[in-house]
Amino acid sequence: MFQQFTDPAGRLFLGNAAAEAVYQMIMDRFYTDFASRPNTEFVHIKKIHDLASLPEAQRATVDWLAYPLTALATDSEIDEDRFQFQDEYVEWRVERDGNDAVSRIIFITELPEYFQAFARVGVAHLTAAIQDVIPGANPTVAELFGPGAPVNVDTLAPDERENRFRDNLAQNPWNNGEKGILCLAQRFNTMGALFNLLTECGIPHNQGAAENTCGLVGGACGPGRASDPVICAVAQNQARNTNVFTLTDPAGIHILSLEGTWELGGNFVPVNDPVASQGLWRIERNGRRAILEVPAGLLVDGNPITSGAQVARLVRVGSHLLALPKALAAATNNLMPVLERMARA
Amino acid sequence: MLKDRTEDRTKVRAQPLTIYLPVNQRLLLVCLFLLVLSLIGIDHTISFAKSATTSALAHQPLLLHQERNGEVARHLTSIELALLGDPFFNLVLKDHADVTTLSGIKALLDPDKVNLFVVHELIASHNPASGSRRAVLTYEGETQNEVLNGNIMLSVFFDSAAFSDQPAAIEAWGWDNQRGRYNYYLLDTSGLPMNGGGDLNSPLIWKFRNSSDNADLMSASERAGTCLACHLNGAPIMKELHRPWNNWHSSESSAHYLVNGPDRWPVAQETQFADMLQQAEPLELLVTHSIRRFNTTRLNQSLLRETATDNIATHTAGTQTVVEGKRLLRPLFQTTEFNLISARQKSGLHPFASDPAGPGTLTFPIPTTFFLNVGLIAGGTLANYQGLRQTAAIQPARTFSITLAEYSKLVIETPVHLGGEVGDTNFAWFVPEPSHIDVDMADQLLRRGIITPHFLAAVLAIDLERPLLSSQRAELLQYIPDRFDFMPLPTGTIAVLEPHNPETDHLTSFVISAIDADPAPSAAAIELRALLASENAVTTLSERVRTYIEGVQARLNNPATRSAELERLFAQAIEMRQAILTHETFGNLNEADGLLFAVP
Repeated sequence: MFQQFTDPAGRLFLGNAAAEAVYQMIMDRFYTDFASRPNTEFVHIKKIHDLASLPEAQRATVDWLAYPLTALATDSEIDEDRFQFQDEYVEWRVERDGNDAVSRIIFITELPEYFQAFARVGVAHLTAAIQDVIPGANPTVAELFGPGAPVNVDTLAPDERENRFRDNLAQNPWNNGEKGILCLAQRFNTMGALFNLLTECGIPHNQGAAENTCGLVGGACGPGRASDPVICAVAQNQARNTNVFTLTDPAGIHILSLEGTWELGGNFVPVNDPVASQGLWRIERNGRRAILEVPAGLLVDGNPITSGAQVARLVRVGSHLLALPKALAAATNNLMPVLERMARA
Repeated sequence: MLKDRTEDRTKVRAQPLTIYLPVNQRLLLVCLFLLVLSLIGIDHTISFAKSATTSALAHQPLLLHQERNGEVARHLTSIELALLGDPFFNLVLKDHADVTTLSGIKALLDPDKVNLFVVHELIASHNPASGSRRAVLTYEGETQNEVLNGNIMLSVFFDSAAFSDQPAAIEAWGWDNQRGRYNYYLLDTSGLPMNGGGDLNSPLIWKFRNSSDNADLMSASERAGTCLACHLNGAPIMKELHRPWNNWHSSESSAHYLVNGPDRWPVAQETQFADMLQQAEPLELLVTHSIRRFNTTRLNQSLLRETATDNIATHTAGTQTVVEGKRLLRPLFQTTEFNLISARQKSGLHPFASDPAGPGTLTFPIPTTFFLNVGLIAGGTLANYQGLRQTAAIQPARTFSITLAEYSKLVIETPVHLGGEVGDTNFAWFVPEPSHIDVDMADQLLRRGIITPHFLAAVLAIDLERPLLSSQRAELLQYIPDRFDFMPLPTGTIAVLEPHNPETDHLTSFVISAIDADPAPSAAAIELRALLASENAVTTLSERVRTYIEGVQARLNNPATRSAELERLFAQAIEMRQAILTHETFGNLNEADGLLFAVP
């Protein structure tokens, strides 16, 4: 039986049972709320998670490139105005050396709910979670919760603390690029947007091609993007095939691979091989964070690295879905209470 | 792993019917051919003859050159052989030209990964009887110090039944980074003297076909029957380069019968096929890069070199010299290739697709590159152009939209036909757009300082509303000097942010003088002269873009004029399609007659 949601960053919630409990509540609410929408074939993960090994189960990874297709802007503008342009469920921070050359690019797909859970427990817990990502980070209360937050922010109600943290993400220097980057903060890159997209596109429309469902679901889908239409298409195809589907656990967006031909010092670098690439491209936190180290002389497709947007054109990200024939899922779920009683007996 | 060659000769090769010649008759043909070659003293023919009659030989070099379809192959000269240095030649054909299977090729290339992309004008049809599909194979990894990524590409056909390990033909290209050229090869049964056109009874033979050297200079007749009839500049082609990749298996239009579902083809059940199959997007990145590096090579080859070092010559004043000006700047003035773009909305009018019609009220944008050369005017995009950064001027064009009902009315009432039926391509508003090879070359000229933003803007402002196939811009190439100096820009400089210095913009000065010297300049030439002599052509271009876009916007937004404007735009789309189909060279890329474009 599906028991609980795993740490999306693969960090076992840092052993923090309280934060873990909060995260369980947050994720269960997402699945429950969206799966209960009428007519959608998007279901709570607990309905089909345990049936994943059945031959009828299908796993689908929908993937896209991180470069924001809708951004009619230069690469430097895209880099500098993350919260306007970086809307493909991927955001990044570019670090430069003393000569203003790019030295490192950090890509993230981590959603804020993970940190929200720690914020809800308390500021020290949140700080520990941030330090787990950015070793040595020493965020102040004002940096985390905004200038209006009380010094002793732990006196606030947990949900108020959580909300303040979330609302301040774009101003938080440990997230907005000034001192670091933690999680997605662009207004369209949210857990809710992802669930909403899948839910709305999981309603069988039977009008036009499945790939064009994006235009039928109103504001739930951004038709000009790389991400939304393909996510929508996969969901709609499942719905039209009378499958139920869900986001696999841990829900979210994964950084999958880096494309292009990479060279360093004239030598080919198999960049997606962590060993052979000698750590040039590292995917961490269960695919939620990836770091490209940019030593002098690193080239991609014959060009030096000059911006994050340049590399974003080559970063492939995706989301994992699990689908099952609707009838099979329903029949099996009718047995669930019986099985659960038997398991408890 | 090499296979026994006799066994290969009898192996079924992806044809529903196979007619076998007795072994001795096939050998007789081969031996007669080899006898002819041996009479003109080719040592390698002896080993070739042996390999034809014996089991697999460890080393069988590429011997043959067949420039044109249907020609009898001749032996490669030693000079021609010495010029072959791409990874496909080095790893496969140099010593193993007897390998005629994909698994054999793969074994020699030893890639980390093989990717397979599928394209066809009938991709939307799941009917197994709809014919074969073209597969493009790419390879990742490094073998014997040869980087495979983006340096080798194969193309084969397969059908619904199976993905043959030994298809009837394999087209291949390899990129020779040292010489800066693409080499094209063909494996099929053609080339033998008795049967120049090839048939199933002849052995599969690898031939070197053409290289990209001077491909851009060839006339239509010179290209006929060569790989360069389609590879017009000598570079790789992906006509539908940008999303939604009409005619490709992609995330925008998945050929489900190649993946899963009740109508899945038998070929999709082959594990190897399924493991290799990719959607079109990674190929876009690969081809974009492949074209870009080719352009860089061509650009560098057009610059004056120091005799002693062969480095690009830099004069005392810091300038460099273009020595093939007309050739180098041709892509800015003339359409040397085209790409194809469409809306991301499926038309619902494809005669061979089974998607239900979408709601008539659904609105979708018309592709912006139909209206303007967005890559050069605005820059950016997935291809990462620098361009002139006039993004604000372009932005409103992204809102030009049409409803499905309006679009369907245009298709049906014109009417346009696809495959002999009233209908449309899979994706709506499928039209030619400025090619990446042309846009990228102009962009590189801008980045290097060979043309200034002022000069580029002046040219783009001519016949602005016709982003490709402009006869007005085309005739202006005559004023470009073959030789001119320019001030190179440091790498990474954003050209449009640099102040325009007429003193160092020698090209602009020269063209003004050339037009002045013309006793009867055309209206376009006069207009170009005025723009070049103006204070700031970039500003003028931006203003013209705004005026043009505002005009289209006003007509589309006005209910009284909307229909007429849509009809005008649609007529323009048809005219562009027809211009391609009837073009003496572009028409070669119409591989499936009647299925590429919907036309009246």
